Amino acid sequence: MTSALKTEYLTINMGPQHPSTHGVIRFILKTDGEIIYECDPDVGYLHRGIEKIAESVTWQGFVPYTDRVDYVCAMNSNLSYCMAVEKLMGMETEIPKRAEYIRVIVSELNRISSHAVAIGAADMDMGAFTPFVHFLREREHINDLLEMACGARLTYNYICIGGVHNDLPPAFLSKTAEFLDHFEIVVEQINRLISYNQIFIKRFANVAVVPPKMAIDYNLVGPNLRGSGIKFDVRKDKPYSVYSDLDFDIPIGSGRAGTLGDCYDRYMVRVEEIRESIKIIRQCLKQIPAGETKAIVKSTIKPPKGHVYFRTETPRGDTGYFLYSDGKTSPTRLKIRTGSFTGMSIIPEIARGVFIADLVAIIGSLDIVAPELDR
Amino acid sequence: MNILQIFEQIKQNTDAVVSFQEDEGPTPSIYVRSDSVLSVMTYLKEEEALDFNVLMNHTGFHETESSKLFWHLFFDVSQDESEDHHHEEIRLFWHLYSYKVEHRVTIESSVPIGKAQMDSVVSLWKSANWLEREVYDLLGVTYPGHPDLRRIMLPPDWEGHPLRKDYVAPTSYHGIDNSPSALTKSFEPKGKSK
Amino acid sequence: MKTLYNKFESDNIVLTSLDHLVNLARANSMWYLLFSTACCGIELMQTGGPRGDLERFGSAPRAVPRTADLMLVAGTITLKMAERVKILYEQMAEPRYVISMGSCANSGGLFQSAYSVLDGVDRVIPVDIYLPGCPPRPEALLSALIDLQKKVKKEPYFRKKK
Repeated sequence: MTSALKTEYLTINMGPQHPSTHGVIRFILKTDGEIIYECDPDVGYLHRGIEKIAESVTWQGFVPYTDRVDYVCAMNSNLSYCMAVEKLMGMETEIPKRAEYIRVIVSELNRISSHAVAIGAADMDMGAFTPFVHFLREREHINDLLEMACGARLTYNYICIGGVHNDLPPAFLSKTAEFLDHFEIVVEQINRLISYNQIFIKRFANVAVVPPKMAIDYNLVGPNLRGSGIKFDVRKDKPYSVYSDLDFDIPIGSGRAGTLGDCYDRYMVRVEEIRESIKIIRQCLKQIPAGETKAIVKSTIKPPKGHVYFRTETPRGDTGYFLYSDGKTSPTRLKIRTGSFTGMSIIPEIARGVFIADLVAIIGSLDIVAPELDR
Repeated sequence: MNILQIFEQIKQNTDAVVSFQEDEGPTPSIYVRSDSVLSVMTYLKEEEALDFNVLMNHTGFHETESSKLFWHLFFDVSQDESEDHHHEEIRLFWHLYSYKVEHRVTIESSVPIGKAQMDSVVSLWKSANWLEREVYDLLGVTYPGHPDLRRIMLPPDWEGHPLRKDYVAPTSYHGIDNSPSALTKSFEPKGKSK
Repeated sequence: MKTLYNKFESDNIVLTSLDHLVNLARANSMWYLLFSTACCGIELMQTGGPRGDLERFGSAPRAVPRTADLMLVAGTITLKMAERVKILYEQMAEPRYVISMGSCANSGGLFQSAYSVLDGVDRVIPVDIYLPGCPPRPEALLSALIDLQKKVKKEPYFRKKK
């Protein structure tokens, strides 16, 4: 009977409109029953040509676009771009100390809210809707704080070349301290609710293992890299801003539920990073000096001819801004190398031989955001 | 190891044509002639003391100005170029990093626009796969030796490579009209089309 | 109350037009297609979250277009995506509505000058409500939904349009 029957691979389309692909990403899957034989990510459904637009806007005028490159952590994107331009202009030492601290506070707050979405979305993809709603509730507090600082909820345009646009309102620091005290408890609650849940661990442990060597070969960055056990964080290893004055740890994956570098390791690295961010902000709140918040920068800047590749640690990992200036009012070339891009490029390799349902776990654990991937 | 030492190492141990470029911004780079890129990259990856195990970024841009004529003083690259695009070329950059030695280097090269071809480095770093696909998609540089060179961001039937400076955006795609509206046009400076 | 036209005091009898009754039900069960492409998608999520609580208006997210009444186009639509949007819209059962959320979906917004961005989703599908903002606040989205409910309540459902 078996000789008469023939099996063949079935091609399945997943996305671009799919609730668990985190935006508009399409996967073309060749499946053997329930098992993925070949996975071909089709990206670019949100390719907005930001890099081309950059060639026609001024250097300062590009800052709002960086918000939209990675909207889940817009502050960090702002910071990456502004620091890259400052480096190109050779003015990184002119930034007032208070501005540096404000930058770190707001970007770490944004890191918490970004990881909250990442963790919540991963939970939701695994079928647990409640933690996601909890995180949305907590995110509102962070949105309120950042709205207090700059007036926007999602796309801030707060950090500018030379510092920050305006000083923090007087109540900001005390409100932030209050929030941190509250949130520290919430993280533990969420952990009890979902992270240590046996069903959840079963879905995440031993799935899509990325060994350290593969992670480096594919240039995974940020929590995805650290989930594979490599202790590298741009904030610690190549410190920028005032991170060298701050004391924090770098959580790495240890294979606590299964193999080193599986989905659960990447997930837990994010949970622990939230705690580290809380630690960083607390130190900043203590150390923040008084003073100016913006260096004197001309209204139209013309950085000298040259190029720079500047990396910062955003929630999705080491984001690199490559800028090439011809000494004009707008960049000649601007390229953004993001964490989602490299995270996505590893999927064809690790998704081979897993269940279709596990592909959702992989996307959730890699924390892919579509516009950052496509730009 | 700083970039000058790396440069000396490359110069001594490979027969590639390289030059050190330090007057361009805060990160100096090493210029490698396009035909010896692969050999330099192989050396950088496989030499024990250098051990560049990460390709962080690979990108390029279309240079139309004649400022790049500087290189013509050192290398005879003009014979490769077709006459139509005399000074136009695509400059390519590779940013490498080493987790072990914790140092980085920027490698630079350029290809003439009429013959935009570069050796693929996918065999050295797997992260080059998507990065090269992106450069191919947006700038039109082809990579012989790339396992799967097709468009990544734009649909397969898209025409042209958008990041080239002479690119004109399409006004319709698959029958969907995308020409700028009258209102949009009224805001644009005169003599400039979408 | 205006919703029920006439109410007799003694019996449980209510007089109203069938159109009105059906529209009341339709307007208050506006299930939307979970279709977030970009930044506005996060605000859509936040609106669906505890503070905005979109579900108190009877709007529940649907993953499949066939069971959705409302398409919330939240975010930039690229040319690569435009055909998909059309297919998704055509898959929805009538009567169907579209809210174009945010500047990008309205007109291309910040990315209007980009080569790959569709200048407004109304070039592909008809739009009922345009919601400005980049991104709009959750309150604005709620207001748009209420506006849509008003529109739905006025529609003749059984009577054919002239």
